[in-house]
Amino acid sequence: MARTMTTGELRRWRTAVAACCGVWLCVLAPSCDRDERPAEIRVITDRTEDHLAPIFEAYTKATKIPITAVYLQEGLISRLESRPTEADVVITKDADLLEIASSKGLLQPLASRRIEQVVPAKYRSPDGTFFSDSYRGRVIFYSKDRVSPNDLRSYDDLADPRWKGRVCIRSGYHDYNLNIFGQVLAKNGEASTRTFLEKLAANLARRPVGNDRDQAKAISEGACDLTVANSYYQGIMLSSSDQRPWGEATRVFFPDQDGCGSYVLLSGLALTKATTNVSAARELLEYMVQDSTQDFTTKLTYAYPVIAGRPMPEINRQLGQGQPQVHDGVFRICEVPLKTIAANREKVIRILDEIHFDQRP
Amino acid sequence: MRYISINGLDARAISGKVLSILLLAACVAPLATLAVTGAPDFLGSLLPHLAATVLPGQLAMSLAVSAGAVVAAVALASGGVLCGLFRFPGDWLLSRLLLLPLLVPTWFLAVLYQYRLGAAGAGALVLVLGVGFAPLVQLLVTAALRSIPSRYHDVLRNLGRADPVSVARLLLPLALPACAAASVLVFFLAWADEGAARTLAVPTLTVGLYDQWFGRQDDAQGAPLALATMLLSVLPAWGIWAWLTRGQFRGTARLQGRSMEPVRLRGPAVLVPWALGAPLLAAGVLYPAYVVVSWTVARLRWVDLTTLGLDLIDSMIVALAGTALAAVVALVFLQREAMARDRILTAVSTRVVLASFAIPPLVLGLAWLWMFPEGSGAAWVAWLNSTPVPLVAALGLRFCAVFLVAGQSALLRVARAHGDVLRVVGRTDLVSFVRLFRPFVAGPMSAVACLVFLALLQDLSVSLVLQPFGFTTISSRVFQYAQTQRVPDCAVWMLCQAVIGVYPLARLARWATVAPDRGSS
Repeated sequence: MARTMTTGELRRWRTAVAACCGVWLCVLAPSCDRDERPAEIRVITDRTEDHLAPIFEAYTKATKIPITAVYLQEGLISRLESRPTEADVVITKDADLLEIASSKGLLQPLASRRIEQVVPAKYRSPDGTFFSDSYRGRVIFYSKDRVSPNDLRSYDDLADPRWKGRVCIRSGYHDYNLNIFGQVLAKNGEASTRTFLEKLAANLARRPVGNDRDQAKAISEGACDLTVANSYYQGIMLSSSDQRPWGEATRVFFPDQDGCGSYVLLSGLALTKATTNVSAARELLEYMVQDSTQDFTTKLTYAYPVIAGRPMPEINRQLGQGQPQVHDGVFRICEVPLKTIAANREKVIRILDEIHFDQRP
Repeated sequence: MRYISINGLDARAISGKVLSILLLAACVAPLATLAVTGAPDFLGSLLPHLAATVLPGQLAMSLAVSAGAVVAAVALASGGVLCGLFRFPGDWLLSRLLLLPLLVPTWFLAVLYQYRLGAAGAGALVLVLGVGFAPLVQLLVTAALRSIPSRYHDVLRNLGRADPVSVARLLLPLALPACAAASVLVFFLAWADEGAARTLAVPTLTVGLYDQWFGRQDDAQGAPLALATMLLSVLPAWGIWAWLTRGQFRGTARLQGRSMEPVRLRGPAVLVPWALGAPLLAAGVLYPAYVVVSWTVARLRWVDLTTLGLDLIDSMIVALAGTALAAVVALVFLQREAMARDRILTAVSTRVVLASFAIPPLVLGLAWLWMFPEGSGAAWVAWLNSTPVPLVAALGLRFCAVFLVAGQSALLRVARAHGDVLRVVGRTDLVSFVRLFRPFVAGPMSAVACLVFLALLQDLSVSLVLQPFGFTTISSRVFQYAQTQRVPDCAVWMLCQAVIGVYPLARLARWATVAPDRGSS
């Protein structure tokens, strides 16, 4: 049995084909032209667009090389593992994620003389696959009105019973906290870390909720007196009209200045193993540690530059006031190998599970 | 069109079968990926550890929050439901106003309440989810009420008992099946929620999955947990669906003849719907609108219009393409069902799409991420991953279930003779199916299309996992701002998303309030 297509059917099929073409043009075509722009650099990052986009724009303006980025809020390593070829450069807020990526064979050596010359060895990975362009202290924020810096010495104070019901903190499972708990574990051992975390959880004024700035806000509202947050938030809060009251209600304390030093979080930059755009991608990484870029980054983010001698924002210079060991905002850093921190993540998560950290108090 | 029929085998029927098998395979693929990836370590050390520590608490919390959200949504929807039952001054306005929470995703409501009022905890989450999902209950129950034949009301009138209380006592039980269906929908949406729970720091199953997975940054560790989450979501979904589709729940009272006209309220009774709707109006409409509009006015001059425009385009691509995909896939499955062909295939496909809907979107997004690994080095895989296709496909196939269930429900109104006629004349292809059944399914399907469009426009979890380079939806942008404590700066984006949703919402409202005998179906 056979019949020919009627005019009406023909029109409908034409419409359907046109619709398919339309969908193809809308959905697929925008991404098809990327192969025609070999000089484009593709960046995958979990850092915020506010901080990176201005740097990328400046780079594109200077070199005419466009940068396309995907700003992931979560699952950076998962994405890198599943789609290793989609990016040339990976930039993270926590270099221990790059340590994990490196151990999974997702990165390639930087092989950059410029980076080796400029970035101190302690801010480069031993295998040469990634480096840091900035760092920030993961420090104690305290209430300016209700706490004296003389009452504080180290991170262990957070677990002291005298602060019961007066400590706030974000989720223990957040990368920032996993990182410093991993450093605590590296320094003090598993049993001691478990005790520290149990006591810290017992001191919490409320269930871990919100981000670092929410904790500063809680201090300003009197909900608690101490928290652990990244040092740059003080600068960010003070330079924002909405958040200034939170910054003004808090002060930064650099713990353990008589001992190992304060824990820091390193940002990280690397080349993906699968990139074929090595030369341009490497140039971008070298651009990130130029003096001008370092100054720009520091001014924008209030993070500390890794290159010695670069100027710091005035707000950073005033951090740690009242601490005799801290001069001009320069503090002692406790150096824990990233490999150790990355290896400790699993142990820390298990401890957090066992003590129900996020469900306390 | 030419087609060949040899020994009774219709080429178009065969191609229809092949197409439905292919689409079924596409729906099964992410579930199979989860099973294959998670199975090797399923009984390794992680799950026993979680079972001994946080998993029971998270499960209990998920169940409690989901059940609480159902109760809250039904209670908050009561004012809107009365709008469908009675006539009173301002009923049209109130019924529309109470649907407006659908324009804002629940996770943004959570962000807003957390940012402005410091809300946190299970109580706040239940309230937020109740506010966000109450319009769904209102829509489904109102539509069911409008399908009730007028003879019920005629009987009451003849007995002289046409007062509002008697009308409500008689008619509300008839809408119970719709209420049960809406409750199930709300339960699974609440169960799958991740954004609102995470914002309000409630340790539900999805939040636990997020913590474990991304805390470890290790797919091998996360996969068994994702598989467990899938099983915990899918098995109850199948059970509840089987219960719902038993005889007494297959739809509300069937409409035969004229549908019932709403009864007029008089005296102080006119205030009752307004009083019942007031909490939803305040918490889901007036307060969010006040905050978002005031933030927008304050920041309008700093808005980057180019970025906003591009984000709008990206969101529209996802929402439109995803909705179209979901509708087409559902139609293919419906056609097989209406033609009474491939009963096993039909039964399997229904369960598979239900499973895809029941899985938390975060898990589904990760399944699609794993489904196309670039490790094989295939160039087409890398190319595919650089497009929005995986994102659209993941969302489209997830929401196919909503189309399918709505279509199945609509087909129940159609006499079996319709399908028989098509079979007898050998016109069992998709085009003929659509042509014949369009009058019966067009209304519910277009309403569902509006609903799915809104849901896809507001998607966060899948978009965050699968967004390609240079592709940012409005929801992703708002989430970025929220993460960096710049919630007021994202107000313009959220307002734009809400404005885009106004037309589909108006269509939805019209579908729910126009009686079937006066509407398209």
